Amino acid sequence: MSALPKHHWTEAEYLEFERTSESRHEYYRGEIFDMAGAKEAHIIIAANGVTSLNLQLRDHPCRVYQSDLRVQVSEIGFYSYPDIAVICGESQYADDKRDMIVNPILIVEVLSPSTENDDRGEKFRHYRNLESLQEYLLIAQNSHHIERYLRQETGDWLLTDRTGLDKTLDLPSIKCTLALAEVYRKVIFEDNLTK
Amino acid sequence: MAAQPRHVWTEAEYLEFERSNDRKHEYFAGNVYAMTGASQDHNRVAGSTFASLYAQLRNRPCDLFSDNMRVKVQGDGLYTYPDLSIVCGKPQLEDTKFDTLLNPALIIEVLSPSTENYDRGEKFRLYRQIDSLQEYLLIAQDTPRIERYLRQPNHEWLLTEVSGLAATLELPSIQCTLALADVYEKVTFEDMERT
Repeated sequence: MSALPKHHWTEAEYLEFERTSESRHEYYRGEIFDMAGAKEAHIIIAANGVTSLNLQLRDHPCRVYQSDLRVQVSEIGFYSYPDIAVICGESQYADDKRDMIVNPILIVEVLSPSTENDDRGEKFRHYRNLESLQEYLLIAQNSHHIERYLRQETGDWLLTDRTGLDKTLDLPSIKCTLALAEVYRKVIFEDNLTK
Repeated sequence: MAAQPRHVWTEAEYLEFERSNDRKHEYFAGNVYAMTGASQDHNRVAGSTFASLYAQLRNRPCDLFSDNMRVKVQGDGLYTYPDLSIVCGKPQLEDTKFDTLLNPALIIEVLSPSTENYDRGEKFRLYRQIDSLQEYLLIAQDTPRIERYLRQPNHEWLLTEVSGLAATLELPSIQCTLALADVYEKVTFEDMERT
């Protein structure tokens, strides 16, 4: 993501701009960020994740959204497009345009070198403010590795991770299971040098 | 950190190089990385944290090390210098040089823009392989906030976050308490986010 050069945007200005824009931008505290295109591995991983979850949620009142769904993280002026979001039950919208949801139960981000820092740090901290959010998944795109943060009753988050194609990961919030072999099906790592 | 252009280093070569070198370098999987200097606030936060914990650990059989103590993660071959590392009981060292610690109970990193991603991601993933490690702290330097990861059964980690200068954080692994007012005593925050 790179910041667009402009003055301090209000949320209303951002939304007006975004609703007429052909490309997507995220908004955070007065700044607008162009969403960069993703690498092939990133796209395939996200699609595999959506496929696996959709198949398992077919007969449940939960819906899986790809990265076109805008999420409003209220109170702090932050709008984002998660790689995958899941909503169970009725969608709750930020306003009557019904194009911004506020109640995901699960958010998944596929890690990219350019966004990993935000996904682990700043962005995750804001997602934690979403009362509906129960689980947050980070999927590596350069190794077979998934990290899951699960909300606890105390407000803490439990980190569990799985490494290797023979592993599976339960997602208690939506009663699904992700097999890493499915998530990484047809994925070719671009670079194994992670440092 | 910048890579030194050379062949794949063995651990023995790295240690020999490092022990005869004035500057500090990290080692990971055959590569050697020069460590960069830290900002004033980074030093202030690390120093204040050291002082607070040192005072609490004075009469207990615990050793507190600053970033001059090298810590080794066995297996994946990482040598690094955490901002603080603490051992209770007998320190285990790699060899008779007494400069490479194997069994920290607690590791603390003060976050910097250039290393935050590494501290949250890959480095934490490697630290999790240290059997003795019970707690991992990430301390922000630009706002009063600490994230604590506490080891749970089954290789899981519980994330707890505290923020604001009035907050305190328990460190169960060493039975200490950190007051954020102490940690940030010498820091002046530019934006007054002190809530």
